[in-house]
Amino acid sequence: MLNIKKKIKFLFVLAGIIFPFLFCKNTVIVYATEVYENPDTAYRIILEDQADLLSEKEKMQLTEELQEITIYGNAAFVTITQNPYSSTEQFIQNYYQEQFQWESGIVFLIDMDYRKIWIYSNGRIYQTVTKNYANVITDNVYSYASKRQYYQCASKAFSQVVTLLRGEKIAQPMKYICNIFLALVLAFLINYFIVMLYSKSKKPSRAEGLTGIPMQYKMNHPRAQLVRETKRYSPIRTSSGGSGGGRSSGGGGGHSSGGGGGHSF
Amino acid sequence: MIQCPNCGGNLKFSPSAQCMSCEHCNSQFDPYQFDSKTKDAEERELYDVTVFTCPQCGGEILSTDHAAAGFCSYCGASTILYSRISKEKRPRYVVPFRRTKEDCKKAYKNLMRQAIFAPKELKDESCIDSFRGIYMPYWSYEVVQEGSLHLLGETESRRGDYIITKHFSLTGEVDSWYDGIYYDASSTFEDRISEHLAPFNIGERKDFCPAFLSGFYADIPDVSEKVYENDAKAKVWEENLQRIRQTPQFAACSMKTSGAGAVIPEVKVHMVEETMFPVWFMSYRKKDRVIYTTINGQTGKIVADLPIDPMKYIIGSLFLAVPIFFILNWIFVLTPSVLTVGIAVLGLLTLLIYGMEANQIAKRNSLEEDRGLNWVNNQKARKRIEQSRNKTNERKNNIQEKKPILHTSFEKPKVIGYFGAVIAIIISVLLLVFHPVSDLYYYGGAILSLFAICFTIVSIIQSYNLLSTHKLPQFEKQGGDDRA
Repeated sequence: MLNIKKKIKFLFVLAGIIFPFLFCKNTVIVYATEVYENPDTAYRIILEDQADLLSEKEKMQLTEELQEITIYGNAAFVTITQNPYSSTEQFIQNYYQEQFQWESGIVFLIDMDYRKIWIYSNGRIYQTVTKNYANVITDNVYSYASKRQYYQCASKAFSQVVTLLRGEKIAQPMKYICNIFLALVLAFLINYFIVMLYSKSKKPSRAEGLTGIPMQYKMNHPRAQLVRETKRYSPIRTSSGGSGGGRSSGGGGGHSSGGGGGHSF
Repeated sequence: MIQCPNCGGNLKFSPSAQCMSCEHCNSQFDPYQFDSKTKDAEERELYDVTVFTCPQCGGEILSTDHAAAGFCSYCGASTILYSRISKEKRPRYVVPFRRTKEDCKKAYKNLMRQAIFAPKELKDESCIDSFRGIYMPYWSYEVVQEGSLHLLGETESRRGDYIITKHFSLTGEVDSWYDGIYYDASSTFEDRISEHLAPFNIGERKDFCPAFLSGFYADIPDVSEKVYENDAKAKVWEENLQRIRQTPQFAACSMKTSGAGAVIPEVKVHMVEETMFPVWFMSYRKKDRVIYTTINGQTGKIVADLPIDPMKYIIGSLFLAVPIFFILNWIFVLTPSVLTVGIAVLGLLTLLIYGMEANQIAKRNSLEEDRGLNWVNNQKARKRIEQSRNKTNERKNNIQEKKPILHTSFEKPKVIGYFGAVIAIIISVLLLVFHPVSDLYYYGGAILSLFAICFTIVSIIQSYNLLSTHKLPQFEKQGGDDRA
């Protein structure tokens, strides 16, 4: 009896230890550190180095580098050690919403939990730094993160973002290499079908096969006589669900949804 | 040889002039002028020919010319063929050659111009010169379907919540005949090739006389006319049914051709005649395989399964990859993991293609669909069994040791090409499961998968090359018409 009481007590203690952790996983509070605000545009720069990956000097340098982005929108550099969400993408989307809502902006995230870097943008910046470009940029810089050169990683990523925002071009090795491979495989398959089309002899159709054969066909006294009529009940199903209750979702806010891309490191 | 009455030169049938023409004095004569006017019973049935036999494969062709033939059309061997004089059964009709050898060469060169992936040997002039005009024996069936027809028909329409079905009795009198549904009567001539050579304009057929063979060769019929009788009937019924459906009075109904009350007039074969059809034949021997190119001697239609040079195919694919690359760049930005998924899907597609092609190749290589050839083989096997039963001192196992007339043993493709596509899929799956960080793994995997898929496709091409060529034929003909 005493043993059972002890066991129950132990279970409560264990639950007391585990539950805070479980809740904790979904309620990581992010304290944003605003380091700069563009006086002309009111767009901000946020540095959020929870994982403590950058030195103070590097943070200052990065802030300077990010200032040009504030012409186009907000900019944030975030690092985390624990991701309460199921993916890096989910975290960054929620982070962006919390910080910038529907404003134009860009976030670069180093997720030490899932070991991923991610770029998410919205508004005016997303029109330039699209999901595809986010994938290209993160692919261009992931190797720095793998080598623990986090400042270089962020600096190169933002520098490529700035290049794109200026209307210039960036190197896209991933895009070209992947497309070369896909083009080659597709070419082998397509060429196979082309080659076969021209190499195989074709069998004439039934009608073609009978061409040139003297023949005669006559149908004398054709007659279709109605024998009987049957009817089967088959109600017409309407596809619409009725007019009542229809409600449009509305177009509140009138913003473009953002997007982004990332890479493991 | 038929001699020119004016100069004694060699008279040959001219496809362009459609008469006998002298090579020396250009005189022209009606072919029937050289047919014996006073035929006795035997002459009405038989005619004199020279039978040429290939010492290498045993293939036989007939000619009215006694000059030695220098190569074999079946196995492509350049050799002097054995010849002997024989009497062969006269066919009933002949469809004379209308296309000359020059027309043939032109058609073949045109085909070769388009066939950029064909091996260059096939474009060789000496190869093109080896076209030989051969009259191929066909059975032409006169098929009739006449009598009362009764079919059941239905129409459906909607009235409110009900579907109304009207049942009709469709009646009429069918009166149809087809004079000359044809099937090739030679086991040496693959059914598939003869099907592809169609159509011939059988309306241009003429009564046979040996003069038409002058300058050409002829094959010997050895397949019974019974073999294709049901095929001819089925073809006629299929055609008639199509026409019945188009009858204005019946057009609105969906028809039932079977079931209680349906009456379909019997399709009957009234007559079967042997007709010689003109075919230009070229055989090119490559190692232990023969490539056949055939041209319809009447219409000029060319039938050839051209082999593909794998190297030309690869180079062509590389060129094709350039525009595809630019199109992809315009549309996509792929990440290495998406590329891996794409390659896995394409690997799977390649595997499916390989499976389908391998099945087709195995089926065609076994010649199981060549009904004429199978019939001949069965007949020969039956004869042997009967002979062996009669000879009591002959051992039973001798029967099994004997090979069929034409070696048609199943030949599996030698290359195990599906390995390539399987490897590509495995590599892709491993990459997706382990999800390495570095792109280099994905690119390395893509290179390996690319080679693996290329290997599979080249294997399909090699198998197709086996299919487009033929095994060297081995005939055990003893000469003459098997029906005689």
